[in-house]
Amino acid sequence: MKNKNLMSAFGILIVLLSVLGVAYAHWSDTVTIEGTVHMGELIVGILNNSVTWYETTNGVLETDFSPAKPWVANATITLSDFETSVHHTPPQTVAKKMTILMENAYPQWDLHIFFKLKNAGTIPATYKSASFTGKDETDNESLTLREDSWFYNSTLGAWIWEGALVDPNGTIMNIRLVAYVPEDGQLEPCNEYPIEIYFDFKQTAEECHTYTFKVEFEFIQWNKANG
Amino acid sequence: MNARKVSILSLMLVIILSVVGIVYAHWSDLVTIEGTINMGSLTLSFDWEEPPNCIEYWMNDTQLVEGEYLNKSVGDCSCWFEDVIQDPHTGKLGYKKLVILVNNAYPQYYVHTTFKLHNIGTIPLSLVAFNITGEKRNATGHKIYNLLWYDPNGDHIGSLWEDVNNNSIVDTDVDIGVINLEITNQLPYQIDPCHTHKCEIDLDFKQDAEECHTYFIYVEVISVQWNKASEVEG
Repeated sequence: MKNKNLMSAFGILIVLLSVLGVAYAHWSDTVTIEGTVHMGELIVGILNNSVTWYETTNGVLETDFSPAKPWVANATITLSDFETSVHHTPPQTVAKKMTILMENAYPQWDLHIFFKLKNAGTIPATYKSASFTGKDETDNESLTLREDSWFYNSTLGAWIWEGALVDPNGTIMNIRLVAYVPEDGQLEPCNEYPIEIYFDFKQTAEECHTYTFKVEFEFIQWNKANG
Repeated sequence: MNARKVSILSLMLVIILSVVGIVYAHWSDLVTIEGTINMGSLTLSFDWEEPPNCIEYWMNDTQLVEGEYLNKSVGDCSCWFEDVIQDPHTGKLGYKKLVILVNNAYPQYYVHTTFKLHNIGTIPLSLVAFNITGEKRNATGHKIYNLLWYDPNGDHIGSLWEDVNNNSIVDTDVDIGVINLEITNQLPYQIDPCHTHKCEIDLDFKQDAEECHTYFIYVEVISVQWNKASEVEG
């Protein structure tokens, strides 16, 4: 008897489920959203072939001295760590690193460097910060970067940084950087911004010493500049 | 129960850190400028290769004649370099001091000394001045007077005077001129690295130089980096 009741209940359950199935069955349709995202890129660097420089002594070209002495001190500047944006036609190539070598430097020798900073990416970039390390390799002493002023010159349309590379013995050289960028520091894609750097060696720079320095400039996506 | 709480806290921490990470993440890029500066050196020395030379002269009525009057050997002179130095940059050697020793000198005894200066550094230099001082000592070695350099025309042709009134100024009516001294060089004079320049010093002992005394003469040759010569002159 018990088995008979169980079989009946099972039969009723199957019937109910089949009825429910009929109740839920209906015509259906779908709408699909598919996405493809081409990400931009953030590349800021030094425009290839944009670097020029000249040397002076007491503000006079070494070749203009009498007698001319163009051979006394020499600077060579090279670019490396090139990066090419894949988004532009023709491709935009910039260097991530500039290496400056100054040989046989002496007080009142000046080096004037000009180059163009380029946003070779596809999104605006904003200058965020700079970090400095320096060393007197001869004395194994750390060098510091003294900041005298950092201001925006509206007439020139440029940020100007003035300061000096110093060690415990005094000032090695005065440095002046002029960056012709907007006041908000934003670099627009495909735009080039002239930069000038001036080195002016001082009397307290030590003979026969080797100084090394490294400055890293960090740029971030413009919309995170204030974040 | 405790273990369960720890697990929940750890999970919350992971979630919080990931949220914070998302907040700080951004695209950034670096541009690097690296520099290496090798400073030069400025080193003036007396020449390592060629020693100095001094020669005696005597004056006949019109001109200097090599040797001594009537070919006698009364006074004598010698000279040499001292104090070896080495430029740390070039490794070149030189001397910092020239010594001229004159024995048994007498009035109208002339000593002509030639020597070479050498730029053993890496920067051109300019000779800009001669700083000439001295002193007179007696036979026991005690200083009697300072010697003062008197060069009214500024042409490095002048004389050394005993500072009798000890005021550090040449008073020609009080002080005593004892030695004529002449350095044949126009200043400023540039010497490029690795180059030498020959100089001459003439000493002419005058009648007022005192017997049996010793005169010490110091000549400092002062040089500066060539591009500062005009400032030093000015």
